[in-house]
Amino acid sequence: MQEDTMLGGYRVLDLTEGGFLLGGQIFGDLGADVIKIEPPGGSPSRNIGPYYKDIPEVEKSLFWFAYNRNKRGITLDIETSDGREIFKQLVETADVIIESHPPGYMDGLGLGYSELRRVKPDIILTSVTPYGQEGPKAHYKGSDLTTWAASMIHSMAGDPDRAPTWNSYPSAGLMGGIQGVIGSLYALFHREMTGEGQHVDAPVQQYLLQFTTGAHWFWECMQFNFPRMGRFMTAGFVAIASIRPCKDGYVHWAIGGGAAAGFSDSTARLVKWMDEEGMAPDWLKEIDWLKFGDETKTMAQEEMDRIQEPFDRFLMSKTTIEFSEETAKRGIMGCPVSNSKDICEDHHLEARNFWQTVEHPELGESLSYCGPFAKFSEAPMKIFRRAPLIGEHNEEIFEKELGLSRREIILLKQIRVI
Amino acid sequence: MANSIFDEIRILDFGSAATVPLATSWLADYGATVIKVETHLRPDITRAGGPFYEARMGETEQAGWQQWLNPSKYSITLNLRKPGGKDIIRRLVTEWQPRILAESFRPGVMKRFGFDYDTVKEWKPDIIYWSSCLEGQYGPHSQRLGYGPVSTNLSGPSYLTGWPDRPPSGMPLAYGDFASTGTGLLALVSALLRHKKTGKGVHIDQSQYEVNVHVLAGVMMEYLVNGRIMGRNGNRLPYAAPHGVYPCEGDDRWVAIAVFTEVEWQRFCRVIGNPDWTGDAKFDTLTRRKSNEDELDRLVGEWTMNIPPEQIEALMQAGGVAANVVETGKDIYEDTQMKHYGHFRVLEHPEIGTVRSEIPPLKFSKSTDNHFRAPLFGEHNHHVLSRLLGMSDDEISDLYADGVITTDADLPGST
Repeated sequence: MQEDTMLGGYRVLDLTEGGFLLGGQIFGDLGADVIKIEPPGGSPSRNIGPYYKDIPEVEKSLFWFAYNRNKRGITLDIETSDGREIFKQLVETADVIIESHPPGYMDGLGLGYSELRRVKPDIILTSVTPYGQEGPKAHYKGSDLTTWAASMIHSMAGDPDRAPTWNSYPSAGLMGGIQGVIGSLYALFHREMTGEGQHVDAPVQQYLLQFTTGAHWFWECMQFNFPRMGRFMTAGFVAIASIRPCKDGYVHWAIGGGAAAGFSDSTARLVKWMDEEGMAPDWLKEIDWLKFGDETKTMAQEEMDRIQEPFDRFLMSKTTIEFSEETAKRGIMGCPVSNSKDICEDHHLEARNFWQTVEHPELGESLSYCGPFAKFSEAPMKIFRRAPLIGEHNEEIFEKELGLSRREIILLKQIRVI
Repeated sequence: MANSIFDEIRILDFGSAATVPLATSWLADYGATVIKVETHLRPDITRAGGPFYEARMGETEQAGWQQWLNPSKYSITLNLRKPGGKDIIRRLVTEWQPRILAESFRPGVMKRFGFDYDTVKEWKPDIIYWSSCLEGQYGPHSQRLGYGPVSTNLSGPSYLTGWPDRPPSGMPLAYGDFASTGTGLLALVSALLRHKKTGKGVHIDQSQYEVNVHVLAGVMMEYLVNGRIMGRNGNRLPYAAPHGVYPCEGDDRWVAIAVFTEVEWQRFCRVIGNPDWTGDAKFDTLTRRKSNEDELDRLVGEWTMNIPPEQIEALMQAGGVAANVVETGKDIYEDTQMKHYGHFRVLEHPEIGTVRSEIPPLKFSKSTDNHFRAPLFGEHNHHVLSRLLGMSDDEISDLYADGVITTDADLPGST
């Protein structure tokens, strides 16, 4: 019996690579039947590290494991005419195709939207690319670094005395993967209402712009480019540390007051905690944090630094874990600046059963995985299967589902179509 | 008006700040009718906080981020602590029949108001109810006070940003909010598709912390499997060089350049005019370029620093190398690609004059959008109460008199 899932019954063909692979995986987590199509020999994304136990082999890429679970995998060279014909047979069975090739590549193969709709009139083709399918920059080369730069994130990130800098783990494609799912699902809902398929154009540059938190609105409203301040932020005209050293690492906490968003409560609670440990000077306890919000607008930097000094001293007496536990308990807007170890050992995530164990028979062991991105009261997301090995489902899909004969499959292998 | 994708979908939106409002706005842009429930007693931080048009600090109708986060919605302002306010919500659920209810309070707040999932489900059994908060609806840390910077720092991205010889430089503003906007939105549309088939609703418990960790799955597996903590690497990648952000002519102007393959390296050298140093043996393979990367970056910087970034972007791209200006807010509005897509629209606004407004980053060959300007604070109080709930003018006047509907007089600090 088929399990109750959000997208059970839909089939998705995944032609993406790199970070965009996360999109197909999310479809799979939601219950869709996702077929990852790789070129013969395996996807180039299998070369992306890190690797299982540092063994640099195509079947041991942890990057591949991390973003391809819940997919079945076949090898098929869609650049050959035999490969294209088989691909079209698959398209007849599919609802959505997601791809991340440069604009025009699919058209060049005779697999553009206008061709695919002839194969299946209500097919949805979603193209996720750095700049989009059209316009003066459509044919620009894109990469993680340059796409984030095109979305202005670098201009506001990094220390002011060095070059702008950004997340060392490439994430633009991963976000683009999410964008592709959104576009595909919009089109699926449109299809449910009208019966029509369509081509969805998802330009990542435009999607990434939101991650600046709308900083471009400072230009729109005030003709002011949001500056980069490293681990500091501003309140009015003074700089406030947002990331601060503690006993064994770094924590996030920023002094704040005023009526908005609980800042004054948060600061007052931290002062109370300091006072319990005899580390809050009398003058600090007398500050009215509700008024403090207004005062910062005219405060000199030296005065702000003087007020923050006892906080910094207190934070240096706490470990990241102590700070995390107490801020959560006391309702303080603070947290550790977590690294992957902190996160993987966080008992809060454990209490929510976030981590999932997935069997890897080919490795002879089970590995821990990040769980789904949300919990549903019904039709939950799940890890149904680990990422596919190269061509793992060739037989299942070509022979059992498309009805190719064993002899045809052997021939296709020999001519390197599969 | 042309049909839009979500024309039949109604949404009751309690979201504040960015994560939930941006998602519901993208549904509204494609036809959903969204009522944003607000209050003057505790204005949304994106109404109370800047940037403000013409630097008119603190004036809620001048708040820039409203134009970004809340277009295509209707706004009502209620005091939900008063029985009359609660009654309006109950009537909206039972009579107006929203398909989706969205909220982003700390866990427990909706229950205190009397609108938690179990209660709303009794009123409307097939409701799709989206709760989005920092660490999820339950668990030992679920009561931590959260806003964007907490989510960014707690969930991994900040630690990975900056230079290996320095503390993390972190991610500005509320980076950590936005992976939850996209995943929350796609969970909602998935739930809408399932509802179409089965008639069933769902409660979505979204922890923004878990979403960000989920995106960084590769970083987590490197620790879980190999016991290695990934750190900061500036702008470098292990398998590319040159790969960085370089200074250009002008005041604080920069360009990002990324060279991966042998062919791209040759193209790059051609674009910069094949200076002698590019023929040096220490740069002739990728592994040697990686070993001598400090020197390589210095030499690249010496070339870029006398040329405007726009010109470098054009030269590199014409030569087949990935490069882009490190765009600023000003650049984004002038970006020819953004303009081609009409990503920003100029709309009339009754208080500000004209404003820019941003549309979702998707282009459909068939579906058309239904984008209109963000609402004024409580702009649709009368419309909602009279047209949707059938109240008389007298009843509505009483609600104002009783403070059930909030007004500017209720703003904190007003007299």
